[in-house]
Amino acid sequence: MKQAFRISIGIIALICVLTPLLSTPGMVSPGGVSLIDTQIQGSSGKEMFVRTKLDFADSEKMEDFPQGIGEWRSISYDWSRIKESLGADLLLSRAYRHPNYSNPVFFLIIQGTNMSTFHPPVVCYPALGYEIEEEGKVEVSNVNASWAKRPWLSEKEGFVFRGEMSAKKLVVVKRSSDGEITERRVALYYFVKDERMSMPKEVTMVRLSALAPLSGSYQDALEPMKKLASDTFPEMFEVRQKERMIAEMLVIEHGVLGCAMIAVLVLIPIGFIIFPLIRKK
Amino acid sequence: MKKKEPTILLCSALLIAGLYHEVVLWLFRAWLDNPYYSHGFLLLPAGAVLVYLKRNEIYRGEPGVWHTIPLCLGLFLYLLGIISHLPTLLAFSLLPTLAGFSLVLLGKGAKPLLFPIFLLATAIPIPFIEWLTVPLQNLSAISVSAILRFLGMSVSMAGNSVILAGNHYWIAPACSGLNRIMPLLSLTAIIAYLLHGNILVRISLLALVIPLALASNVFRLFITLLIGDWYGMEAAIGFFHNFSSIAFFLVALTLIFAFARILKLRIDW
Repeated sequence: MKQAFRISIGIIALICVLTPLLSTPGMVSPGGVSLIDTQIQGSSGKEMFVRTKLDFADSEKMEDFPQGIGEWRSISYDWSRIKESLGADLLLSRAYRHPNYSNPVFFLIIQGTNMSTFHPPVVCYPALGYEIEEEGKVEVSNVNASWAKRPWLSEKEGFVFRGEMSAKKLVVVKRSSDGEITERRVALYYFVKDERMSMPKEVTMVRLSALAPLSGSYQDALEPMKKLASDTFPEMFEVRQKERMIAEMLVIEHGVLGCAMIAVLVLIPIGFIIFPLIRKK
Repeated sequence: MKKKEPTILLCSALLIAGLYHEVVLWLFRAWLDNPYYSHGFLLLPAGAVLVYLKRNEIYRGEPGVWHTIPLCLGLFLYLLGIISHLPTLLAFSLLPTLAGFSLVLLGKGAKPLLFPIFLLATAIPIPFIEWLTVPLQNLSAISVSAILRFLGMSVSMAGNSVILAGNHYWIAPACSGLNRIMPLLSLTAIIAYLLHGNILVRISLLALVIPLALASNVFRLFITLLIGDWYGMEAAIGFFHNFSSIAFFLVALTLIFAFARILKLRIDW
């Protein structure tokens, strides 16, 4: 056989072996996997594996998303024209009020199959005439996370849900023609990605925003947003254990046998490539 | 062993198809849903035509070991894309993989297939390209206002809106010119491929696409605003606004052919 053919077949076989070994079971399963992350593409390293409780693609069912959550009460906005112009499958917009906080928190869920639906807030706000004052990440504590703790393993095994998720934070200001700040907003957002073999099937963005004082600290605006993010989370998701790569699972569950299995799977294609070279020598 | 080669190669092709089927589905979905890349579907028949035009140059050559390098690179990028969850990287890895597989099958005889394969790069969604929309909207609004002001017309700006004779014309994201750059890039790449001349000169023609696309877009907006001023806003944002996309491509293509002539590139059929 020609050496070029041998190398090609060996490489293709090697990749076909390595791809499932370096994937998680969720990635290769027909249903794929749902992840919460602060990045729309790629991995932030802080992604959270979840099972979505709601069908985000079903606008009618999403209308049933609770108007009242704990002490939060909300009103809905009709953004059907914006939904159409963005080509989104879903656009749910609500303003939630809580008796302990003076300002409402604007809650938005948008889902689409392509990335052009999402002008992430860092793009969207400047397009609406806002200036970005600050960007960062915040940890949202799901303090009442008993619903997620039960299936968790011990700390030794490395799978402990600490009741925290990452969200991106954005502080934006709007200025009048003479340069004075007329509006200041804080936004928190995260993405829910349904993936199979690292290819997104659907992407959902959850964004919370609130008005902040024109100057000084914005903590009074941030706190109710973090509270609403925490309270809405269990309505939408169930946290799943972080999945390990299949190769890692083979080693943990089968020890030496697992290592041997991986070695055989990897060495067969490599051997197929280099065997004739060794034989010639 | 020689008799088994076609079967083994067919199996390899099927394995590649299996690896990439989610990537291809993602590309098709992007071409259907994403206005920046809807030209992707046209590149498939365009590629087939380009292969047909060069059909006499395709032959079964002897593949050398170095012909496997693009395939190895493509599959390495594929693995990297899987691990790092980067769909764009996965889609780009398809190009060296396809090119590499063609080279392994046909050796040097696969050369005419390489351009149609790499042409697909202009239809792979790049993340965050939308970030350029806002600055381009702004640039278009500023440029149109400057031209109108130069012609002595009373014009002002409010954000990305141009105010002419009391009418507000909002330069929408779709009017930023960005969604026309990618198809124009594909079209110019095909033109540059078909023209004869120095390779560096042909690449420089490709580099002109972005400024020419932006200039053509400003011209399109300028005409739209003039029509709005002469015949009313209805006329400007109605029929002409829809027709202006064709006008944009005509202007852009005229400029590209003019530059091709200046650069002494010629067409030999």
